[in-house]
Amino acid sequence: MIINGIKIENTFAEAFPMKAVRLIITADSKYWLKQATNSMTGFATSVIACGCEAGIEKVVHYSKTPDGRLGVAVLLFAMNSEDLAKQVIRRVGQCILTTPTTACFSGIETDEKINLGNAIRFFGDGFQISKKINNKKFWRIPVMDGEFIIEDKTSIIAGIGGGNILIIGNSNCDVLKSGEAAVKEMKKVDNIILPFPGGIVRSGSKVGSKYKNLIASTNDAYCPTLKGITKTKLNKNAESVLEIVIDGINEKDISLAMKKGVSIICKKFNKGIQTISAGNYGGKLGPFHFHLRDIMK
Amino acid sequence: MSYLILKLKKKLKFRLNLDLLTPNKIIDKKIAAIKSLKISYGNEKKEISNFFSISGILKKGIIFKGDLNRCDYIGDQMKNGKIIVNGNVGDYLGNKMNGGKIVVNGSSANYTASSFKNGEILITKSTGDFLGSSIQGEKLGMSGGVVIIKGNAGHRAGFKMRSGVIYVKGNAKDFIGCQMIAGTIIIGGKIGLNIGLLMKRGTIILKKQKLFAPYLNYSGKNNYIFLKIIQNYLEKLSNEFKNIFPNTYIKKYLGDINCKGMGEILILK
Repeated sequence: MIINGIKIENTFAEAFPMKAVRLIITADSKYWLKQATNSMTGFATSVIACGCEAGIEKVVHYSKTPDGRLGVAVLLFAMNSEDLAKQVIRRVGQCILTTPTTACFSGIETDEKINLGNAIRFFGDGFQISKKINNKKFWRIPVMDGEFIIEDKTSIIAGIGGGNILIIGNSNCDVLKSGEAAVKEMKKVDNIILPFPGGIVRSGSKVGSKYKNLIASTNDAYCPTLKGITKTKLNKNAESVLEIVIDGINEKDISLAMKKGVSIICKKFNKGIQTISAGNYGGKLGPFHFHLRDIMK
Repeated sequence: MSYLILKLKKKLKFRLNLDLLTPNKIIDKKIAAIKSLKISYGNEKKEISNFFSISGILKKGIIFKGDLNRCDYIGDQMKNGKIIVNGNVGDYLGNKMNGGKIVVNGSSANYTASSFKNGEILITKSTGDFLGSSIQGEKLGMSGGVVIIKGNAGHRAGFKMRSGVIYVKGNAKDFIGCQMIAGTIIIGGKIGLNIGLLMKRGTIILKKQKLFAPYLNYSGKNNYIFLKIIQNYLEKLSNEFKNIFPNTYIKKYLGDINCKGMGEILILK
């Protein structure tokens, strides 16, 4: 398949099941909202070493937040419920509780729940107050600027991690610009996050390594500087590859985000970009396969 | 017609106990069976048909018509459905209620929403003493749900209250939130003496007051954004609550300090 001169490879992105949680963070101002959510979703690019993958999903209008202030929806993903519960408590406790004027609420409702305020309330040292409103429990934890409001529990849902596209082009500049444009489009889709810095990752990985302690190492087949010595998947003119990784709470929105990303690249960057590909492990790792050509039909 | 309509035939001399006439208790009964239900009238047991003419079908709920100010226990242990009363009601309205909605287009007497657990009660006029309180001998008062009084409330509103929201648009008399354990009471008008006496926890919100209670300590002004969460919830129930807390940067008093209480009284202006 070729779209506007760009080859769409006959391959698929391989993704795997994760557990996810959505939190709504609110604050008095955009500035402190940004500080809180950037801090909370920082160092959360990959479960390989960060414990979870996290990112900002969308801005939530003040009319749709529980406390009527401007909010941001954050999605966190981990491999299982226990790991996710630990990460949520750590990140909310260290990044949201600590940020002036913020509050934290559950952003999704399912039957599977984990502690949120129920764990962090102990910071109140007995001075915390619970409020039950419309069958939901909130904690008011006294802090030095007043009160920190946090919902008692939050729900967990099934998520999908590892949707991706690979952008292969003639130069670093072309590939990066097209990647930036793709990220901008993909971020318009709800229910997904792009967990890497700026939504783009340059160090795509393969499973395993020659060093026995490493579970992942550089994806040498896509490293342009190793074309001469490895079994490369790049042609002689390909000089740069960047990857966009997508985590989401359903297949439909991950597919939509991939489609939007690829579409904008094909539409506006056909001169510098040669190929759109995707990363997979031969279908052995994850049950979710996002076939590029099916998505782009 | 989806409501069962009960119209009071005559003026009552004694008190009438209507605890059997709750939608979930009679949902599977035919009209003939309902008419022959025996209820307490003074110290006697009499059939309902002696007091009410009954028509309609019980699908959504029950409508009572007439002055029921001597009829007690309306909506007793109600779990679902709706009761509408077009007139005044007696004591223990919504006693131990656990769901559904009661609307009284009139006033209610004492012990309205006593030991109330869940659901919604709306009184368009005033209510008597012990609103949302515990019934005699029990440790806990109202423990959930919402009670809205558009008029005034009597003494001891929220006595031993454990959870839920009480909103009184008008005035409330003495001992509001006395021995309160948790929950939220909002008073739109004037208050009587000894508010929050022996209060352990919970929140009483007043529109505009000067407090001179020696058992309450002033705890400064701050931004209490949880009020907006309550407001958002109440706004969904009724337009009555639109922008009920325009300002969340307000004064707070803590007490009752004599029983090491952490109850709070918030004053909007």
